Amino acid sequence: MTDYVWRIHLMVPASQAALAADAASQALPGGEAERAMFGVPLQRTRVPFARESMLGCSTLMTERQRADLMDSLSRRGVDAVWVRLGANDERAAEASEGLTAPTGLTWDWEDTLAATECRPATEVTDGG
Amino acid sequence: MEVGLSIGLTGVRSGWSPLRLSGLKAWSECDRPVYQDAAMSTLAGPGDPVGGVPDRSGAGYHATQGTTAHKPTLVAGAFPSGRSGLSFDGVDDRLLMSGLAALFSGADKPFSVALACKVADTSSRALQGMGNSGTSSPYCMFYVTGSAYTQYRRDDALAWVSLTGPAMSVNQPQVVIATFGETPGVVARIALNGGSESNGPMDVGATTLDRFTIGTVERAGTPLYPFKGVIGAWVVVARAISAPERTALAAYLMRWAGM
Repeated sequence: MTDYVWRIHLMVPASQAALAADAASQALPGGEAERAMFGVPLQRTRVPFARESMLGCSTLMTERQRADLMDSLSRRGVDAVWVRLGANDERAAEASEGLTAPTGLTWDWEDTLAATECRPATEVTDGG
Repeated sequence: MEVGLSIGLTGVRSGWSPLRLSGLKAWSECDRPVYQDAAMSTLAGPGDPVGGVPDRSGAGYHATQGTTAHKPTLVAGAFPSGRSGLSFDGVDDRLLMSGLAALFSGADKPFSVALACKVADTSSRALQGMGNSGTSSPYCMFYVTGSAYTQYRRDDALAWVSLTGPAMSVNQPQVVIATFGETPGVVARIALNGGSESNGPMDVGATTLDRFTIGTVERAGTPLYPFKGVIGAWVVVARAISAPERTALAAYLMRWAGM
């Protein structure tokens, strides 16, 4: 039976990338390798782009890792946006304040992107 | 007295294995022991993140990932054979084969990649890629776009070329083989399930690569078209394998997957 009971979709403001990397490297088992955690650049989808761009990730976590990371982010003042899902069924269990993720319903990364008005940043010519 | 004689052609016991391929650089199967950590010290079970997949080729190109968020998840019974696979989340999961990209960096360096996989949707998804750790160009990738397997290559000067291959089926076990650099003409091929195949020239300039990944193409630390679905086995060869070799390799991986 795995201890990895949660999947977390987690986003932080790009301006707080260094603080978030510090938090991850302190809270998670991989140490310095965890600094790469927030590695998906996200662009805002709504015009005008009133809010700054974000960095995101999706990760499996144990309850202990989740609690440690959230505490580590909070202590550094990182304004994290997140959705916590059951790792087995990917049903939403909880979301950060201001983010609506219907509890008990299946929720995927694209739902989190839509709820935060973000999309992955790509170049126009990627893939031809 | 009765004497029985049987020749087994089922399972993965036909006698042929990827070890017969000269230039074999990596061969991994996820029904064998895989590990939670990149140091490959803690065994992974179903539902655990996977940070280390041993290479069976003898070349030592293990697939690893040290960042928790980027690790795929071990899934039991992912293929009809009952064998396990790795579930990639379509966000940031990928495994790195450190040092392997250097073999394919430069002008028209040939290679072959084969995978047993199930693709979860019709978005653009990279099964395998090679990128540069310092810049978003150049890169090359074997990916699905819309409903077709595709090879794409962009060189140091931003010139690009692509080859569209056979159609992909969502959530179906499939064995795909991509080859690149066949001479004359820098021909690339994409073969599906040992049958349908597309080919064409993919001749661009020098392509400086230092990141070989399974599950995305990584450019300047950022994943492009992260894979969503299951990958259960892969084989990498440092040359464009021949038609009989493609047939044998596809048959081997299809037996592995139970197709």
